[in-house]
Amino acid sequence: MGLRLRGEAFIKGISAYLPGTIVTNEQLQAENPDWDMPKIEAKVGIKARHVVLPGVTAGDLAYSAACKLLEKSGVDRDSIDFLLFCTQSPDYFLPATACILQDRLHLGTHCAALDFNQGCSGYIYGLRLAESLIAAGNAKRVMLLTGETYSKYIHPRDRSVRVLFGDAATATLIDDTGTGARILAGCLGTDGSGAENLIVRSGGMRSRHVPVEMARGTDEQCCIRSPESLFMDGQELFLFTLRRIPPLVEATAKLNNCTLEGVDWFIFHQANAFMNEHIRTKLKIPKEKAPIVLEDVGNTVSNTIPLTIHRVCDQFKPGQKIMLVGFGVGYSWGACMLEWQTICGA
Amino acid sequence: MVVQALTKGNDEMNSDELLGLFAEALEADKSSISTETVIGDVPEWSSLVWLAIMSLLDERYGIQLSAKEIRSFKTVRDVVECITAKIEIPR
Repeated sequence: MGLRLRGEAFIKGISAYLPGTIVTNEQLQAENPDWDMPKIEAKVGIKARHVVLPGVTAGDLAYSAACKLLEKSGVDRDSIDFLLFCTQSPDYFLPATACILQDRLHLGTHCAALDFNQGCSGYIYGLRLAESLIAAGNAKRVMLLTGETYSKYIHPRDRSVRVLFGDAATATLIDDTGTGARILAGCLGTDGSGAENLIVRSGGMRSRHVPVEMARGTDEQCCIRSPESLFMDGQELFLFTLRRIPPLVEATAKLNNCTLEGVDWFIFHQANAFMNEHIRTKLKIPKEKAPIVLEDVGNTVSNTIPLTIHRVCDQFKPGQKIMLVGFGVGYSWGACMLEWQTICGA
Repeated sequence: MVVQALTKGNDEMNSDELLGLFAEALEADKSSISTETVIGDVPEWSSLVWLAIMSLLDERYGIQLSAKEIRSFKTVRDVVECITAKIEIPR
């Protein structure tokens, strides 16, 4: 799906929140003497990840990120007329966590609130939804929240995912006031045939309860996990990325009447350093144009793109073109371009 | 991107080039592997090594291996044959 330029919505501010508990590679090594952590660290580029304590949810993290942004930006809470929350680890099956957040954040009762279930492409989806609501005149100011606690899905002995993922939340304000980073054209896409390759099989209605005898098992790759835990086929995910992402990046540049050389910054979903470096080299993008922000946070799913913008945006200059590229679980992917103007960071 | 072609019509040359690529991914000496090597007998041949092989194959020859193919490989010869077929059959 290629989406044409309308350019009537602007990112006003971004904040990020990381839970306080940090799991380092040294801790993982001590817990799992059979894991070759130095080798893993060299490949994936991750030294530590933040995780929530039991009892803390993605909704709690998103609440904290939203509070930071409201405080820094100084916007009137009543001016927010749409709340979007992207998560794959909601607080409840129902109601939507966004409804709970509307109340906790003291947003007006005129504010629409919606959860949507996307992972690594989620931020791009959120920006596109916000931009479309604003361009259609159905909202004036949207608060887009991303919050994820994959750590709750991860079996502590499953090396393939435990080393990669971290928990986080971010908040973004998007409005029609003409100041901030302008959201330009982009593409979204889906290939559900890859659903099985990054999945939590049990817990939903397809397989609500896990038989006790299946609650712990070792798969053919010798990773220990249960059907309730996150499963990832890293090789299939890498293959998907190799095939889909270079054309996505090229199509997004073309849609914005731009060449890859004309893009000033590329903010890729931060999957792992190895995969990101391969894509960057394949597209011949200079290293300094595609920052990698993984070392102390890991792969935080829908949070990686806003978290990276939040951390590196003091290097962006007004008028620069920034391409955002998200891809993963689904399979789902999306990219869009921003025209940079200073935003409020918190 | 510029895609190199494996030297065609010379199986020995193909194997040699690919053995070099596998050794690079394994961070091992090329002499430590041969087409007869059973992959399961090499403890260092982890899933990370497969990712490195996938990356090198994509970069140098523009070809890709699927997880299903990777799971089916028993010996290095199986891998070489699969890759050689992909290079020789125009896609």
